Amino acid sequence: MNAKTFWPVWGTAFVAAAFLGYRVNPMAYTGGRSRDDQERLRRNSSAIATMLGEFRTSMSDIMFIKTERYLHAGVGYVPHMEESVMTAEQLSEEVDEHQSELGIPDDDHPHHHGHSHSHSHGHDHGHHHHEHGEEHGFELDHDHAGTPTLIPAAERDFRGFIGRLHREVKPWRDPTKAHIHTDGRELIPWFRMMTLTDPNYVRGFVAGGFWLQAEDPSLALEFVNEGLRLNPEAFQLYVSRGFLTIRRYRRLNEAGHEDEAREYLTLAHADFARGAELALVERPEEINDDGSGPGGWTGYHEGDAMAAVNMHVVTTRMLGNLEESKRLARSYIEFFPDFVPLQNALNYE
Amino acid sequence: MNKIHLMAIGRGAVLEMLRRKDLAVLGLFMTVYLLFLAAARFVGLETPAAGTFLLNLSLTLIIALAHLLTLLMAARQIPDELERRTLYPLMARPVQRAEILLGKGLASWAVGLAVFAVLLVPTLLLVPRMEAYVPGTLAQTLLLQPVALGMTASVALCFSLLFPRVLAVFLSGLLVFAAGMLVRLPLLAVLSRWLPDPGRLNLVLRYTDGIGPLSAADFLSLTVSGLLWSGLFLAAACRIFQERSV
Amino acid sequence: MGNAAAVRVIAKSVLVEAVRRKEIYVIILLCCALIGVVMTLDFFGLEGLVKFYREVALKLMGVSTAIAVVLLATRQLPREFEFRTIYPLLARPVGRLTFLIGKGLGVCAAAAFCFGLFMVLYVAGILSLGGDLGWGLFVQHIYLQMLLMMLLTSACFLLSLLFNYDAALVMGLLLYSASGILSSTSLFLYDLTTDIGRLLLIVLNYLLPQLVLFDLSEKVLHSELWGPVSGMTLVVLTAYALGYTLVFTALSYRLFRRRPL
Repeated sequence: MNAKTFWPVWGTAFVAAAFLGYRVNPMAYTGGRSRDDQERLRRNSSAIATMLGEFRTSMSDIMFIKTERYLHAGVGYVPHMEESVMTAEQLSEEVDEHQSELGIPDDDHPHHHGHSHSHSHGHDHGHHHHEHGEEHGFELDHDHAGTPTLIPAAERDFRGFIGRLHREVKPWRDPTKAHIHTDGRELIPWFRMMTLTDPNYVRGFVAGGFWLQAEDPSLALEFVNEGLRLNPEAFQLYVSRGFLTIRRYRRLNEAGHEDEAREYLTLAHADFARGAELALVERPEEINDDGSGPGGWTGYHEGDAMAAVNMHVVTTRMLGNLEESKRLARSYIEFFPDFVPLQNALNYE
Repeated sequence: MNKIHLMAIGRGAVLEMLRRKDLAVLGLFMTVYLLFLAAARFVGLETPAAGTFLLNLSLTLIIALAHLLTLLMAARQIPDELERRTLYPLMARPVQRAEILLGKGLASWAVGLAVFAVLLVPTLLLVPRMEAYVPGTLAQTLLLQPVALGMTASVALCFSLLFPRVLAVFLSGLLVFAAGMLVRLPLLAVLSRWLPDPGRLNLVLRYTDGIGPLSAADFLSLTVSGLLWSGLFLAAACRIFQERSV
Repeated sequence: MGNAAAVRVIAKSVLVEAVRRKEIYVIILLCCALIGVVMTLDFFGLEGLVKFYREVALKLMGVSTAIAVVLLATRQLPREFEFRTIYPLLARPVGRLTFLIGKGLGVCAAAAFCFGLFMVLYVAGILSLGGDLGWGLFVQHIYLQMLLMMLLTSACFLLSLLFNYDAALVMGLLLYSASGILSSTSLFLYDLTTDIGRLLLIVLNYLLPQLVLFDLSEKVLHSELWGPVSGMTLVVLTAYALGYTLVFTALSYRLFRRRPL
C-alpha cells in the first residue's frame, strides 16, 4: 500500500476502532459487589486486606480507605465488620449531627488547630459520644476508643525499635484513646473522584451529595442530578434528592417563606414517589431477615426502599392529602408488613 | 509476508529473552505471587466477600503482570537491536522491515500470553470461589485478554519507534494501565473515544461482581475494536519503520 | 588523583550522564504533566480543598524519584561491564571501593536533583493554592526521602551484582513498592504463626530495610494536626539508613572485588 492510500485507509480503520470500542462499556451496570458498601466493609475487614495494608486494585476501595484515613487525621484503624452500612436517610442525619460539632483534643498528640466534623462517610459507627471544646476545634469520638490501629500499640508489636519508629513517623494514636475526627470537607474531592472513575457508583453520589450539602445545598443538588443523569433508574438517588430538597423546604418554612417552601415540598414528594416506584420494581420478592435478597439486593437497599415509601407517605400527608397518604401506606404495607411508620400513618387524623 | 521469516524473527526475540535470563524475573514474580496466595490461604478467608476480594486481586495482578512484561519486551525490541547494532545483519538478509516488526510484535505478544496462562493456572486452582459468579463472564474475560495483550504489544512497539525508550515505556504504560481513568478527567475527556484502552477489555471486575456476560454483539464489538487497534498501531509502526533511515 | 577527587569525578560523570540521557527530564516532565492534569480538576468551585492535590503530588513525586533511582542505580555497574568502559577507568589508580562510592554518590546527586526540583514545584504549588505547608514536617520529609534514596541506591547496586540487569531492576522496584505490604503482612502473620514462624518474621524484620519508615508524607498531608518528629527519631533513622547502606555497600564491594574483569 503506498503512502497516498495508506493514511486514508488507516484513518477509516481508526474511526471504526474508536466507534466499536466506545459503544461498549463493560462496567456500565448498576449494583455489583464492588459497589456494595456492606460487601466492601467485609472485604476490607478481612485478614487478606489487613495483610495488604493500603494496597488495593479497585479504585473504589482505594477511595474508601482514603475517606477513612482523612476522617481520622491519617490514623489507620482496623475496619470492623460489626459496623452496618447506613441508608441514605441515616447518612443524611449523621452528616447533619456532625456538621454542628466541634471539639478539643484532650491529649498531646494533635497539636494544631483544625476543623472537624463527622464520621458518617458510608458506614455507621452508631451514635457517637463526641467530646468537643472551645479552643482547638477537634472532635473526639470516645465510642470507638479501643478499636485497634493498623500499626499496633507497643505491647502488641513484636518489631521493637522499628515498631516505635513506625508509630512515630506515621499518623498514629493510642487505640485506647478517643478517635480524632477531622474536617469531612476534604473528603469532597475523593467523592468527586469516586464518581468520575465509576459513574455507576450510585453510593458515591449519595454520600458525596450529603457532604456537599454542608457546603452549599445547590451544589449538592447539582451533584445528585449528575448522578441521576448517569443512573436514571437508581432509586437511591431520588431518595437522596428528596431528602436534600426537603431540607430546603424546612429551612424556608421555618423562615416563614411558606409558598416557596411548598414548592420544594412538592418537588421532594415527586422524588420520593419516583424513588418508591423504582425501588419496588427493583426489590426482589424474597427478602431475608437482614433485609438482603437475591440479585445483589442488600440491607442498605432495603433501608433506602423503606425510606422512599415512608417519605412518599409522609410528604403526601404534608401536602394535605391525608386519605391519599393512608391509601399509599396500605399499599406499601403489603411490601413491608412490619414497618411501624407505615402502620402509624394509618392512624393519623 | 513470509511466514518462515516471521517465525524465525519471533523465535530469535524469544531466545534473546531467554538469553537475558528474563525468565528469572518471571520466576521471581511467580514465587512472590505463590507466596502471597499461600499466605492468603494460611490466614484464611473469613467471609465470601474476602474470597471474592482475593479472586479479584489475583486475576487483576496476573493480567497487569502479563501486560507489563509484554509492554517492556515490545518496547525494547527495536531500540535494543539498534543500540547493539544487531539489526543491520538482519536487514542485510532478504527480510522485509514489516516482517521484522511483526515477528518481534508476535514474540512479545506470545510471551505475555504465556505468562498470563502460566499464572492463571495456580490462580484458578488455589483461589476458592466463595460467591456466585457467572462462568460465561470468566470465559469472555479469558478470551478478551489475548486481544488486549495484542493491543499492548502493538502500542509499545509503535511508541518505541516514535519516542526515547523511557518515554515510550511510560506513555505505553499510561495507555495500558490508566487510559480508562485519565479520560475521565475533564481536561482529557475529549480523548475518551479516540484512545485505545486495553483496560476496556478487562472483565475481571464484572466477573467478580457476579454480573453476567456481555451480549454477543457487545463482545464482538470489543473484540473487533481490540483487533483493529492492534492492527492500526502495527501498521503505523511498519510505516514509520519503513520510512526511517537506520 | 586522590580518592576524594576520584569520587567527585565519578559521581559527576554519573550525574552528567543521567542528565545527558534526558531520562530524568522525561520522568520529571511526565510527572509534572500528570500532576498538571490532576490540578485541572475542579471540585465544585469550592476553595481551600488542597489535601487531595497535595497527596497526589507528594505520592507521584516520591514514586517518580524512586523509579529514577532504581533505573539509574541498577544499570550503573552492568552497563560498565557490557560496554567495557570499566577497564580504562580501573586501569587508573582508582580503587574499586572508590569507584562504587563515586557511582553511589552520583546516583544520590541525581536523585537530589530530581527530588529537589519536585519539591520546589510542590512548594510553589501549595503556596499558590494558599495552603499551610507545615514547614517542619516538610523539611524532615525531604531529609528522610534523601536517606531513602541513599539506601535504595546501595540496595540496587547489590542487586545488580547478584542478578542480571532486568532481574535487579524488577527486584529493586519490588523492594520499594512492596516494603509496606511486607511490613503489614508480617505484623498480621505474627499472631497466627508458630514459634519458628515468629522467629523467621523477627529475622526478616531486621534483615530487610523497612522503607516505610522514611515516608512522612501522610503526616505532611495532615500537618495541621501533627507536629514534626523528634530529633532523636531523626538521629535513629539516620543511623538506620546509614547502617543498611554501609552493609549493602560492603557486600557490593566484596562481590565487585571478586568479579573477574
